[in-house]
Amino acid sequence: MITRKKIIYAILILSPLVCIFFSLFIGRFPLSVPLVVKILWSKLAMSASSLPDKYNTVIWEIRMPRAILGALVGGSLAISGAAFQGLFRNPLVSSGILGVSSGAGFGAALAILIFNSTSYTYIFAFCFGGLAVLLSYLIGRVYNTTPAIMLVLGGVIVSSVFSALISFAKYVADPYNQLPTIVFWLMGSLASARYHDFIIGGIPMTIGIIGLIAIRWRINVLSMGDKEARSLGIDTALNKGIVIICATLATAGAVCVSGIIGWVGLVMPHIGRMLVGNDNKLLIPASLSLGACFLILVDNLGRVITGSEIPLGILTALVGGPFFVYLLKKTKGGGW
Amino acid sequence: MIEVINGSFSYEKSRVFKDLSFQVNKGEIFCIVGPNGCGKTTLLDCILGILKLDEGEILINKKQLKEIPPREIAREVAYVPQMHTKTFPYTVLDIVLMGRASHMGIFSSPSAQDRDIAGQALELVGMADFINRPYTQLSGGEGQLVMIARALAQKTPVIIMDEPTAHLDFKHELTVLETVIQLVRQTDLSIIMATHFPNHAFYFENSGINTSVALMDQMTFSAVGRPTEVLSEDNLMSLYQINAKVVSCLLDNNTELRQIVPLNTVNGRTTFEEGCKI
Amino acid sequence: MAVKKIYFKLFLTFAVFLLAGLLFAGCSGYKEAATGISEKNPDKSNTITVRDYFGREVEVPARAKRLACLYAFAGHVVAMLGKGENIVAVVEGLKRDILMTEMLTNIKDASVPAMGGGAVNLEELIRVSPDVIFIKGDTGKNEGEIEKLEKSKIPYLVVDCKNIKEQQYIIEMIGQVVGCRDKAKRYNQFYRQCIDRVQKKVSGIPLKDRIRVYHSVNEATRTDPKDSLPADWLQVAGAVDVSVDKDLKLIEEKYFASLEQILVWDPDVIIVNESGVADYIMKNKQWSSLSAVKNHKVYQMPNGMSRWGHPGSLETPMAILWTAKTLYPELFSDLDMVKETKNFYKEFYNFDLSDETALKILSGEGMRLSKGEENKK
Repeated sequence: MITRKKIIYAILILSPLVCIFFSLFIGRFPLSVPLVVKILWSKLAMSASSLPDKYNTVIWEIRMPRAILGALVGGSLAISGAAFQGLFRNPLVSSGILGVSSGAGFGAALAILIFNSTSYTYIFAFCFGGLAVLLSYLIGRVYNTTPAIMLVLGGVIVSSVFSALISFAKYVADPYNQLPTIVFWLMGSLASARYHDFIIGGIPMTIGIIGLIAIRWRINVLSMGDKEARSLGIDTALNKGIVIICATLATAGAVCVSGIIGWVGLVMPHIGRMLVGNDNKLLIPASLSLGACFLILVDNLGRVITGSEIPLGILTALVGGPFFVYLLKKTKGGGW
Repeated sequence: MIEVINGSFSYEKSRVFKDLSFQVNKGEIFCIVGPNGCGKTTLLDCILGILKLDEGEILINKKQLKEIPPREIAREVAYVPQMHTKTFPYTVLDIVLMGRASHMGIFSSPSAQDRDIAGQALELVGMADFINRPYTQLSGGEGQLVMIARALAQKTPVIIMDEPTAHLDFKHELTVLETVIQLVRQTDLSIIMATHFPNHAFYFENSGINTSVALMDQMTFSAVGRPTEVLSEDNLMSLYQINAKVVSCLLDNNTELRQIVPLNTVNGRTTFEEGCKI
Repeated sequence: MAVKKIYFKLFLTFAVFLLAGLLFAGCSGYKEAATGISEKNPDKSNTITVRDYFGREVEVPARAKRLACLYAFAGHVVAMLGKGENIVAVVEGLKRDILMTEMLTNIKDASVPAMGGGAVNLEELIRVSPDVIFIKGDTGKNEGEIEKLEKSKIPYLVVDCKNIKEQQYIIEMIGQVVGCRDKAKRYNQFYRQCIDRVQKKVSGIPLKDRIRVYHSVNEATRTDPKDSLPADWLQVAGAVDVSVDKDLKLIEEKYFASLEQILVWDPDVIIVNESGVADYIMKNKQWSSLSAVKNHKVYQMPNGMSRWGHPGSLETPMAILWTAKTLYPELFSDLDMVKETKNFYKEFYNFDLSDETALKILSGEGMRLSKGEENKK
């Protein structure tokens, strides 16, 4: 029993690392497998490399940050999705349910409109992502409780309002200078990932992930509903708050650096449920690991499937949509 | 164990109960009987610390309830809900382990010891074989037994049950009651139980458990005491406006068996027709 | 009682709608009075026939007086030709063009019948009743929009270009429509002169010796697809545009290259048309191993009325000169860009530029000529 658990944890930790490693071999720039190994080795051995600069740039400045950021973004979206599903006692909920994505999108557009530059977009995106969640929470709050359905409704309302605001921002933006910047930001992708993004998006994502992993077992108890959770000795307001804040941090961080990527936060937790069961103690780390692997793989697929890159959002939806239908059909009698 | 002194509670302006006093002793089952909406659940929520009394006080083991931090209340009082909305197919073990939450830090997970306690709790309610089954696949009665096991895993001296047999079929109702009796005998638990069936109180009394029953009506307890004294035909009439007979018979082993047999409602169809005639 | 209440509510709702409707009607009525359709439609018999970008033969009034420019490029051409005061309807973008609005005050009050995405508001268009409508290629391919334009019974011309030749043709066609064919011809002649001047010197350079250029358009990784005006003029300027032979990622009508692809191309020179991007490329580690970056061959393009050489830009002949001189300085040592710049704006926009302003345009930092720096005649 214990060894089995250890094996599962080992797989969960190792698989994203393996995915990151393999994605170093994939890309437009022609580098043979032995060459990539050589580039990696020369860096690790700290030996002065005789290899062209360009090779190092491709591996260390382009593929490596992209893979790591992909792992972080995928992991963040999936882990927050799993946490929200537990918290809202609803398996159809995903990481964007409380409007964090559209809120962040609007924040970015607003920053571009006000300051006419991209220097404040990350901060604005982040703050408005948080604000959207807060609004959803306030809308969903009735008689001092927050029933799942009200929260979800609140999220839907807030999301659509912010989406409309994004359209409005695009409408009033200067079509020569501001509009292209806004569109470029919203479309988002890992294509321009660099280490700089780790400071902006990486920190909130890491904090969110660590927080959710730490509190993961409590999500089980929270999913029993407010009253039962309280009778079981849990400060529901505090615990819910921590889960929402951590999941929002992780999602907002992810949206900040990669734009809006759908489906990961909905589908990955369900694959996790199939593999390790519903106990959040295992499910939360499993979702993190699965989300990370999935996004790296999809990103690699997007880079190699055709000459031109396919945006991530399209691929995740193409893979996620049919899978979700399959899931719904299959689990029709499976409890929920 | 638990003592409520002059407790009053109201939602906004509508008063739910006023000046309630009672106490529950070790190894005693305290049944609260009353019509729908009389405030049973509200009273239980107050004892669980989920709602706060407007006036009066609740003592748990001679300690003021309002001075106990929420987490520690859960080490004194456990709760078995009336109906549990199932969401995710957790295993039975996962569910029972949740009873250990109050004994753990905010960022920790159940230990091997917690798993042992959960296993013992399941053993006690006779559900040990179901340990790895998804609890969403259990029948209503089995589910309720798992909920009782979860309350047991909380290792509290008091368990509060809010209509634990609602929605159960005839046999499962009996199973739950039997389990409760067995638990009180084995572990010296105190149980506060809200129920719609006054006969439950008789059932416990008939089984030789120290049982009290309170009739909750008009914001207060109209009567508190032993089932035999309290559950009289007159009291049932004033509580539910029904005509009933309390019957008793002797069983083979010479124990007395009391039961209420309801006859008809007072202001039901019959009275209505009589009114028409006049 | 309850029924009465419902009736009252219904009545109230109805009244509100009615009031709102009247209010709107009142507003638009007021506008109409202000603008007026005082000018009579030109004589029907006096028409000319032109062929637009799609090759459609369209009959339009000769010397059209009321122009709807639903593509900024058309607005720029009309302004260059000196008929800017005839513009009655524009796209939102033109109103934000500071120089345009300063030069032509009527643009500020011009109607905007096509908002944001380009969907035409038919009623507004009919209200303004232009003699002719200029639309861009994308709009011309959109059946819904075309249907609307057909309904208006106003002739529309598709103006767009994928290369220099088409650009010249369209400029001349617009000149014909607005009655300034001479100036259009003069512009195209200048255009050809610039091309000849550069071609004379660069056509001799064998393909393998030509300098390989990456052209960044607005965003660092946005660049030219093949069959685009920039691809054409870069080739004329003696450069090899690295991006034209690859599939590019098309996002919202724009073409992007991936970072790795740019590393594969490893261009000799990078030219960028947005201020700040050159700095970004020079400082970003991901770009640092490119030869162009290492050799400090990242150049900011000039920026005047528009970004020089941007798709549709009328400063494209100047972009050809500038690029040729930047790539092959030894061949074009006789070319004085400051002088050429001053001549160009004097000739075609009637601006007397100071040396200082000309330099500012050439540095690409002078985004748009600001107030007081130009002397309008």
